[in-house]
Amino acid sequence: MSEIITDKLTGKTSAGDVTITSEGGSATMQLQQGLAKMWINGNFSTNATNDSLNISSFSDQAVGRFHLSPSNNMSNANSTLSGCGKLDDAIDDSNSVQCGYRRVSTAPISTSSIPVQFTYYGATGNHADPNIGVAIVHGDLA
Amino acid sequence: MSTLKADTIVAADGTSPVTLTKQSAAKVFANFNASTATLRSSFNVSSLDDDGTGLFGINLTSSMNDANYCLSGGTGSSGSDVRHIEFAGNNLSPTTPSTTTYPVKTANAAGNGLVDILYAMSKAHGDLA
Repeated sequence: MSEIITDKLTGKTSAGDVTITSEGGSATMQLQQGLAKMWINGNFSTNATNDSLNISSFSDQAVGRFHLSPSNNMSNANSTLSGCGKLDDAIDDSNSVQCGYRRVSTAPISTSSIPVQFTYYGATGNHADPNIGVAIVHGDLA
Repeated sequence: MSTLKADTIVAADGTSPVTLTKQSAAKVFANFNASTATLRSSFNVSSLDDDGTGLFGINLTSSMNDANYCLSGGTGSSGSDVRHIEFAGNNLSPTTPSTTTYPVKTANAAGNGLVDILYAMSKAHGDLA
């Protein structure tokens, strides 16, 4: 097996475009686009970050509502968000924590702020501060 | 710091994929408005099918290697309650993920009604063909 040891990969023709071959060998894809650009695993009950990538800080806006600030901005406001969470409330039922964009229009999604909310299943939906909250952002960096 | 400049990276045999120290990149992502069935941003998505209220098909540009990939997602809503997104089979075709397409269902907070939400977001991890 050959191995290249380097600290940085840069596209030769276009700095932000490195193509890799698919696992099955029949397709190629742009390496950069598939990589997560932001993620955080945090205790959103105590507002502590357990681990993260490209997160400079997050702010607690209200129960279940947080704004994530990237260290390096996204290139547009159309990033794709996913996530999950865990509540330590000793209730062992089927309600699972979900992560989505915060609902109110006064918290716009932007290149420098990702407003998220954690909720769990209910008749109308309930906001919650999960003991473990995960948010993952894919898209293009600026 | 050393910098390697290249447009394409493949394994030494010229065709196989390189090992990125066990890192796994997402093979699909899509951010779409479910109400208008329009993509805002996407990767490896050829088109979006609107199969009815809360029912969508995401069609892939490059096929997955098998139908056992990992789906995840998130939502954002301007509606009156908190909505969520599901990736379950439904009564419409396609009912299960395949190598070329997978169904997405967006439901209300109670999980008992399909709705078209403002922000529907889906991702897939796994192997490409």
